[in-house]
Amino acid sequence: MTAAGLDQDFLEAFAERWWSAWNSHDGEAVAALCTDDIVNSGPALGRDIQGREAIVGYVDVFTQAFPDMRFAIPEPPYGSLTRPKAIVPWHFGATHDGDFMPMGLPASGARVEVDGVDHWWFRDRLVCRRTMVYDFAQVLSAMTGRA
Amino acid sequence: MSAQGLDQDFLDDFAPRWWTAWNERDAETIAAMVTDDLVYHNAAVGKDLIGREAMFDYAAMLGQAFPDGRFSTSEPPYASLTQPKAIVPWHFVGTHTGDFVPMGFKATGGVLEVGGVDHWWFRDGLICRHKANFDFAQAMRSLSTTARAR
Repeated sequence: MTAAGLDQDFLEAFAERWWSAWNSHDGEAVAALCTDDIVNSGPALGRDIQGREAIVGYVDVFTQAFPDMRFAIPEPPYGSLTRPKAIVPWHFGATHDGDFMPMGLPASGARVEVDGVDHWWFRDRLVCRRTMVYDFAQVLSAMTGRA
Repeated sequence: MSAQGLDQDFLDDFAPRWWTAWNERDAETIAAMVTDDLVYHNAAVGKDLIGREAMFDYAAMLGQAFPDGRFSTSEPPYASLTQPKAIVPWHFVGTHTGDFVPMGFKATGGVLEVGGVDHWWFRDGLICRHKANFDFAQAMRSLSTTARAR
């Protein structure tokens, strides 16, 4: 890594492992890429997920609701030049074939396609903070059939 | 610019001019920073806006809907290494004292606060494609929880 920013080769190799872990629905592998005090935030749960163990459960929540879920990566991650941080675009595609427990949303069979980005903050070459940015209104309307 | 990516110096100059124009509700300057065949995608708008004039109209409308609206940035924009594109984090706060026409929202008096990122694709130093990622559900929630009791 450079003094302040993030090395692109490291970042691209890391991202490869990260999305492979998600696309294998392997919560343990995702958690192994996080610090033990990881803080994960995003629109879906309305609260932060903290710690490696919670991350395993978090991946399971999505795997259960979206058994065929897959993150596709449209372009390489964007490393910050000034801090150990990256912005990572993704496209999420999945069928809502299981219950989404956090919101008590029963399986609808609906197809969910949404794009967004992750913010990843790194410490010791692991993600210590992750924030997902996407339009949850779009996901909810797909899952509930409501506009 | 490098062979394929976006030059960071260009971007570091462009981005502050863009945000200043939005914060000064200067629709003319905003329109001048996009190509005449711009494609603008934003969940708040419903359908894509096409062209410079549509950008002008949208910027002017947003300025009327949120007269104190302000975009702030907490870090520099991110230039792509592989294409003439950038990802640009932002945070918006504004009081909804005018009508937001695309969604038919009458003024609520609420404070809309939401963070997101823009994707900017460039051609000839202008934005030719624009896409925003943000949580529209959160934006609406912030508005409804702060709307004046009427």
